[in-house]
Amino acid sequence: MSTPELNKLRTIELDRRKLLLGALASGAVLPIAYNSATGASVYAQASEDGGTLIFNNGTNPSGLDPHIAGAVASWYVMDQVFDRLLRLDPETSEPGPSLAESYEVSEDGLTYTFNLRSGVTFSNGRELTSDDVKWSFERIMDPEVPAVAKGYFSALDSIETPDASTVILNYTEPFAPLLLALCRLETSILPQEAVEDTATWEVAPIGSGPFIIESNVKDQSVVLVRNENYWEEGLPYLARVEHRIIPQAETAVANIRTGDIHGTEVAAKDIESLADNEGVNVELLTSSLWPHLSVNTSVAPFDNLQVRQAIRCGFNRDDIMQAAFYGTGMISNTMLPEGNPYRAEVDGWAYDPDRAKQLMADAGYADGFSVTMRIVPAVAWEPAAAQIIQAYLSELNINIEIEQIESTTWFSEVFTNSEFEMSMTAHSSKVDPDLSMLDILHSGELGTKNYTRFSDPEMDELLDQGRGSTNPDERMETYAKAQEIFVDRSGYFVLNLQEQAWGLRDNVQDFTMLPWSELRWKETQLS
Amino acid sequence: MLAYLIRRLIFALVVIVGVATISFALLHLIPGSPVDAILGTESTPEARVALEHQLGLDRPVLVQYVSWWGNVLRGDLGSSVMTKQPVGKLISERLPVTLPLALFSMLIALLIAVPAGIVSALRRNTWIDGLVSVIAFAGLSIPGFWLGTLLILGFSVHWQIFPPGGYVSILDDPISGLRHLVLPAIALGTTFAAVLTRMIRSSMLEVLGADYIRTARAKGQTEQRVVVGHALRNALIPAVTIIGVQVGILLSGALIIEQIFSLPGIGRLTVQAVLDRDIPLLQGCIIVIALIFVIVNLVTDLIYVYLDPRISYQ
Repeated sequence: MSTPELNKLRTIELDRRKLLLGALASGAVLPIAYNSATGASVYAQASEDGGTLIFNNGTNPSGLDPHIAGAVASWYVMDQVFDRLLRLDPETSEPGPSLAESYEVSEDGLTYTFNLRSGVTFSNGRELTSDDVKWSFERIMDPEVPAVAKGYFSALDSIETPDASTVILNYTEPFAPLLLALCRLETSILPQEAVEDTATWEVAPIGSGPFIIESNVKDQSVVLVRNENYWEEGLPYLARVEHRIIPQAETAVANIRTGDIHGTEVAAKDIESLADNEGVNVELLTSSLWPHLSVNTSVAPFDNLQVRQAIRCGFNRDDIMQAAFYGTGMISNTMLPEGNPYRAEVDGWAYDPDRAKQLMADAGYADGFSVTMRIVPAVAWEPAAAQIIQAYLSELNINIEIEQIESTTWFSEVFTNSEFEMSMTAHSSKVDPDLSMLDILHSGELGTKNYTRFSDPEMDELLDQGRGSTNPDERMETYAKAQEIFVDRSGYFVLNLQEQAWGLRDNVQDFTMLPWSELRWKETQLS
Repeated sequence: MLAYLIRRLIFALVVIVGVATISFALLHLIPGSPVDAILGTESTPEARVALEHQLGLDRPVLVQYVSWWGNVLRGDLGSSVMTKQPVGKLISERLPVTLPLALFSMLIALLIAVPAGIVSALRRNTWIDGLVSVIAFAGLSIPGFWLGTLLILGFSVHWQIFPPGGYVSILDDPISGLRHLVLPAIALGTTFAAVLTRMIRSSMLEVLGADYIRTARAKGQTEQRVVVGHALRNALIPAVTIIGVQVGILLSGALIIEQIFSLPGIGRLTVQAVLDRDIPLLQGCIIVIALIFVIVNLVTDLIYVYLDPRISYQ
C-alpha cells in the first residue's frame, strides 16, 4: 500500500484493528502492514518467484567460514550456504542423508563408508566429489587453520576416496559421536578452489547449500539469493533472504510491528506486548541453550564438594524463571532437553535451606564467605538471575559481589583462563551427549572448554567409555550415570532449559529454527 | 596567516599520533581478543593458537604497533580482523552515512536555536523566555538514546510516519534517504539545539547591552536592522566556538544514535570495533574521527576572522 493511500485511510479514522477485521471479512488479502522504509507492504513481497524474506540477524556474523566461525550470528547465515555429509532429522534427532545418500559403519566402529549423492554441484557449477570431502576434512585437521572441529578427527587414521562418490574414514579407535558431528556446520564440505581465492572467500564464501551470498555489508545486511543449481528438487521456495543487522532489541521489535521485517528473535520481556500486535505471531521454540550458574571448582571454597551441594539447594530456580525469564523455559536438572534420547531424569535437586545450612556447616563454612560473581549485563537474563541468587545465598552467609563485565572480557578471562569464582552463561547442548558433556566436564579439557575446571576420575572414566562405545544401550546407561554426577558434583548449576521467542509476520510459513540454533530457510514460504 | 596554518597543522599531526598511540595501548590493556569474538564458545586451544598466528596477534605489541604505523605511512590502514575488508574502504563507506546525519542534526539545531535564542533574548524575562528556557533545559537533560526510542515508538510504531531505523543512501533515493535521517537527526540534534539556544540567548543579551547597539538605536535604525545587522553577527562568535566543540559531541553521540537506529555509520563501526577488539579497524576509525575534529576546529578558528575583524592570525 502506498503512502497516499495509507494517509487517506488514516483521514477517515479507521484504526488498524477495524481495518484488519474489515479486510478479513471481505476476504481481501491483508494489506495492512505498511512498510514505512520502502513505502511497500511486506505482504506484497510474496511474489510468484517466492519473494524476499527479511530477517533480523541481531549482530554481524563474526566471519562466514563454517570451519572457523563459532558465533550464532554466523550460523544463521552459513546454514543457508553450506552442506554437510549428513543432516539431523528434527523429528528423530537421528543423522539422515544429505550430501551422503547412505553410509555404513563397520562392526568394530572404526570404518565409516559414505556414498555421495550424484549430481550435486557447488554454486559455482562445479560437481562435488569425494575429493572435496577429503580436502575439507584435511583442512579442518591442518594445524595452520583455526578450525574448531579438529577434535572430531583426532583419532582419524586415513581418508580413502576409491571413486568420485565414495569416502571411507578409518579411525584408530571408535569415536561414537562422529555421525552427529558430521551433521554440524563446522564439518561442512567446501570447494577448494573457492577457499583458496582468499579475498572473495572471506567476504562471500560459496558452498552447495540452497542459497548464495549476494552481498555482505557490515552493520547493514547479508543478502542471500536462491541457488538455482541446488540439488533438492523445487527448493528453496524463497527467491531472496535479507539478514538485516539490527542490534537493538527495541528497534527490532519496532521493525516487526511496522512490518519492515518478517522475523526477529524477541526478548522474553517483549513477548506479551508483541503477541497483541495485529499481523505478528510469537512462536516459543525449544532451544538447546541451558543457562547456568557456574563456580570455579579449582579455587576455595568451591573446591569443596559440600559447598557446591549447599549452593545447589540454597536457591529457588522458580523465582529465577519468573523474574529473569518471564516464565518461559523449563526447569531441568540436566542440560539435555526433553526429547533427547540420552536425557536422564536426575532427582535430588530441590530448594532446601535447612539442608543447605547443614552442608555449609559440615564443610566448615557456617560463617560463610565472600566471593565475586562475574556476569555480562548485555545478556538479558543475567543481572536479574544474579541478584536473586545473591539474595538467596546471603541466607547461607555467602556474600556475593556482582561484577559486570563485557562479553569479550568474559570469553577471554572467565571462559578461556578460568579467572573467576562465580559466573553465569548459557551453553548450547548438542544431540550427542559426548559433544555436550565431554568438553565441559572431562579433566583432559582443563584449560579449554572445561572452564569450571571440574576434575573427577569417575566422570572421566564414564565420558571416555561413552565416546569409545558403539553400543547404544550401553551408552545410554553410561551417560545416565554421567548426568547424575553432573548434577550432584559439578560446578555447573542448570537454571533452566531456555525457550527462544521468535516474532514472525503472519505471512511467514514453515519457519524452521531447530533447537540447536540451526535455521533452515529452504522450506519457508511467504504467502 | 600561512605560518599560523602550518603551525596548526603540525599540532594536528601531534594530536593524531597521540590519540592513535593511546587508543592502541588502551586496546591492548583491556582484556579480550578478536579470537574470542570469532571462535565463540566452540573455540579450542589449537584453533586459538592458529588464529592468533594468522592475525599476527602472537607478535610483540611493539612490533604490531610499529608495523601498523609503517603501513599507515604507506597509506594502508590495514584490514579489519572480523570482515577482512580494507579499513579504508569500510570507513569511506561509512562517512556518507555519518556526515549527512551530523550535518542534518546541526541544521535542525541551528533552525531551532537561532530564532529561539534571539526571541528569548529580545523578550527577556517574559513568558516566552521562560518557556524557551524550560524547553532548552529539558533538551539538555533528555539523553539521546531515550529520546531516540521514544521517537521510534511515536513516529514509527504508532503513527508510522518515519521508518524505525535502517539506512537508504540519499544519493540512491533522496526522499527515502531523508526520511530515514529525520528521527536520528532529531535525537542527535536536540541536546545540541539546547546548548546553542542558551549560548545565543546569553551572548545576544550581552551584545544588546553594548554601547554600539545603543548608538545604532539612537541613530534611529529599525529594530530589525539593529538585531540582524549589528547584534546577531557579534553574538554568533561564541556560538561558532560552541559549534566547533559540539561537532566532537555530535560524533560521539552518533555512536549511540546509530546503534539505536541501525544506521551503518562510523559511530557504529567504532563501537563494533571495540566490542570485537578489531584493532586495525578501531585505529582507523579513531584517526578519521580525530582528523574531522581537528579540521572542524581549525575551520572554526578561521571563521572567527570573517566574523570579527579584530581577530587576525598574524
